[in-house]
Amino acid sequence: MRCLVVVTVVLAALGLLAPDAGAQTAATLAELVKQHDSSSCEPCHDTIHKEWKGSFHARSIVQTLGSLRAYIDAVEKERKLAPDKVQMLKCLDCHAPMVNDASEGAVREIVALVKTATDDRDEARKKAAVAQLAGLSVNCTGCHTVKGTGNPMQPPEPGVSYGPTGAAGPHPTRASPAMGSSVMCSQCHALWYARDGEYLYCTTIFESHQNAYRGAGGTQSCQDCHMKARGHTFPGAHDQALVKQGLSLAMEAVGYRHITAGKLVPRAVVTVDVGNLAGHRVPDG
Amino acid sequence: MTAKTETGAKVFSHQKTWQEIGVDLRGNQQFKSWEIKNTIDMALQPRQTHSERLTIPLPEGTKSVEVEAVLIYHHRPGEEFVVHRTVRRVQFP
Repeated sequence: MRCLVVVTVVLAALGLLAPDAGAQTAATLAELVKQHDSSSCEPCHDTIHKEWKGSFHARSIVQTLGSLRAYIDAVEKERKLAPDKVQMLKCLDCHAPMVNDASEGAVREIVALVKTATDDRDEARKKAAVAQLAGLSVNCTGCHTVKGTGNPMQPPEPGVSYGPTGAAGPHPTRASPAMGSSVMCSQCHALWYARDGEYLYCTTIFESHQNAYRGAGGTQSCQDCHMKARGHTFPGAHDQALVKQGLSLAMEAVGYRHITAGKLVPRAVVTVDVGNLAGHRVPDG
Repeated sequence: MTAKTETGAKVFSHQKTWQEIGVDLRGNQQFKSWEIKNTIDMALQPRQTHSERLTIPLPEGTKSVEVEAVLIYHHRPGEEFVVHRTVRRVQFP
């Protein structure tokens, strides 16, 4: 046992132990973004890449900068904690999954950039910070590597791309059964548990899907409505066509005359039925 | 929902809201949208149809009334759109 401890200490000192996520820890933000840059996916997955570019996943950071800034403020001023990796992953595990592979130094860079992007009076500096942060968005690696196993207890293997079939490619691939089920999406679109025990209610749509929809006999998965025929555009409540598909409206009306003080007064009885055809409550997020 | 007589006069208006924002009895927001679901759920539930039946009193002598129901989705402040619209005409011969 003593030998094992010594070997472990030596390996740790040399930086040769694999990090928790099973991937390389990026020392800087630039390194992190380069490591997870999805532009290399584009030549072979052109259509999918184009679809993703127009999706809200591709804007997962820049779309929520205000909330992210408010969260950093809450961590520093109310909780009196440093916005370190454990604290920042409470937002970024889903808004920028690649941060799981970031060093504390890279996380500090991200925090500084969020502050610049929201607080700086210099528009050019603000714009540059936003552009840098945009590279952290949920991209190919977010779902197909970092979250690829669909199971937080089973970290992804470094360099492996997970997909629904595990079809052979020019890079290591592996089939992930979760990829075709709502479980995959539940990693972010559900009640979220942090490593320090805190849980967050940012979104609980999966709970509604699993308990209210599936529990009442629903059979569709997230992918059935949000991906099939819509690819990697992942439309949501901002997409009018999808909302139209998920809600129904019907009305019946009948008239009669009611005797009031000896007079026949017209009345209409109207019945309106609003149906929720979606796989979860509406509204939700 | 609105009802208009044959002259175009609006004689009835009613609104029903399904939401996820928690407010107290005074209408003040008490919970953030992501917290409310832990307390009370005011959203439209899946695989369920919500029915509203209303009796609309009309002015004496009304010959016909046009009832319009509009389902609006409010995504965020300033961003709302009509999901469905349906109209029924009721005659009083």
